[in-house]
Amino acid sequence: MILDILVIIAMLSGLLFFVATTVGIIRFPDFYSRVHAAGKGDTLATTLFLGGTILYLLRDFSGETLLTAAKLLLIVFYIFIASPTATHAIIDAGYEFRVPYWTRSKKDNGTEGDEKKMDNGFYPEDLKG
Amino acid sequence: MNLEPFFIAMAVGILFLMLCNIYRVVAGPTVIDRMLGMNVIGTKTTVLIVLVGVIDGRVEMFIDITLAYALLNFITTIAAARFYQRLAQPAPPEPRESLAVPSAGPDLEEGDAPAVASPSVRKETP
Amino acid sequence: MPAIFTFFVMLLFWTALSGKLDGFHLGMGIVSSSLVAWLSHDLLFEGHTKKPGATLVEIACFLRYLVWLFGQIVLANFHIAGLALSLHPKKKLDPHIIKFRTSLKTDFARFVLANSITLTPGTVSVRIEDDIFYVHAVTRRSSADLAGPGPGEMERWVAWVFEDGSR
Repeated sequence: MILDILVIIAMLSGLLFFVATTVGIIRFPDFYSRVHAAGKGDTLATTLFLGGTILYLLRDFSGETLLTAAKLLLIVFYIFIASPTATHAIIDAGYEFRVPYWTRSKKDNGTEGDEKKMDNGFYPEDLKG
Repeated sequence: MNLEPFFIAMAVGILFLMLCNIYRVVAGPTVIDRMLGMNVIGTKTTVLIVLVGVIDGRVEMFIDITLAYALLNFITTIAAARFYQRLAQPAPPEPRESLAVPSAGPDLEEGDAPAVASPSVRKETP
Repeated sequence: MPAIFTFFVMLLFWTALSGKLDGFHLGMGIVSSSLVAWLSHDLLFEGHTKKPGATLVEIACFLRYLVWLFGQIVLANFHIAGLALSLHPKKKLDPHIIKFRTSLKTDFARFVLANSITLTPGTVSVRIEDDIFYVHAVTRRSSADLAGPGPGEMERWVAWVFEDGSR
């Protein structure tokens, strides 16, 4: 009974983060912000869903379900490594592709929220080191 | 407590979110946006396969499909990202070994440098 | 030596995936694991010349670090969900790129730092060129830790895990 409630809580919060990911991908103004929504939301939401599934499987405890739970843990571990790496690959490709970026600054004759061509220098005054 | 209706509701919800993500795949201004949308849809598919397995009562069979799908999704994303990154980069100068006629002098090779300076060079001097 | 480690990792992986412990399947696993270990012994533990005891300490520290990282991931998700579900996300966004120099030496530590940056609130690592990181931050507050003088909190954590001198 308690396990059931935990499963429901985990999966509902996972769905909430999936909703946040989707809304972010649809609403955010430029490519780079969308990558933020995609990279973070997916990792935790997948973890929550698969964790809920593990808890559900462990209700009837046997050797076979233990093996399945171990495989699910393997997938969770794999997603923890692979999801940020895929995010990094996508945003690096976009950076190289010079996807236009959205900014608030009013410099360079742009109005607020203007999309301009990226010069690969972003904000030179912010760069340090 | 019978959780099967709850799982079906979750699966339908994920399916709906995948449909919403297709908007970004169709309307994305650049090809990288479309790639991002496909990556997110692939992650949701991973979860969906597990949920279908739970509803079907045969998770131990679906879990292998999930693992293979997760690997495939990751490799697809990496390969597509690398491909478009290579496409966006300026063409590197031809390696000297591949030239059939070694005629180019050193001054000609300097002129052969790509028109757009590579970003690493430009960022070193902000 | 790295080939033997790779062999045992691969065999563990095989056993977890197949789930059968009879002679035929284990024999197949041993044959293919040794084949993979022979072909790719320099991939998994590349440049890892520490003693096994030091590796165990490193793994323990890494687990401690993962707990902290998971808390950061939850914070990051609430942050991004708050931004996405707010009425006017454009008013809250202030995207910019920062650049900083890291003091981490090994490639693996830099990989872990880059992935951690991606998973923590409001920052995604864009590019690594040797020891210079380019990080895209979505609000000014989220980049404050990385942009400050000296190594940030996360870099100190990663250094604590992977570099013996700071432990």
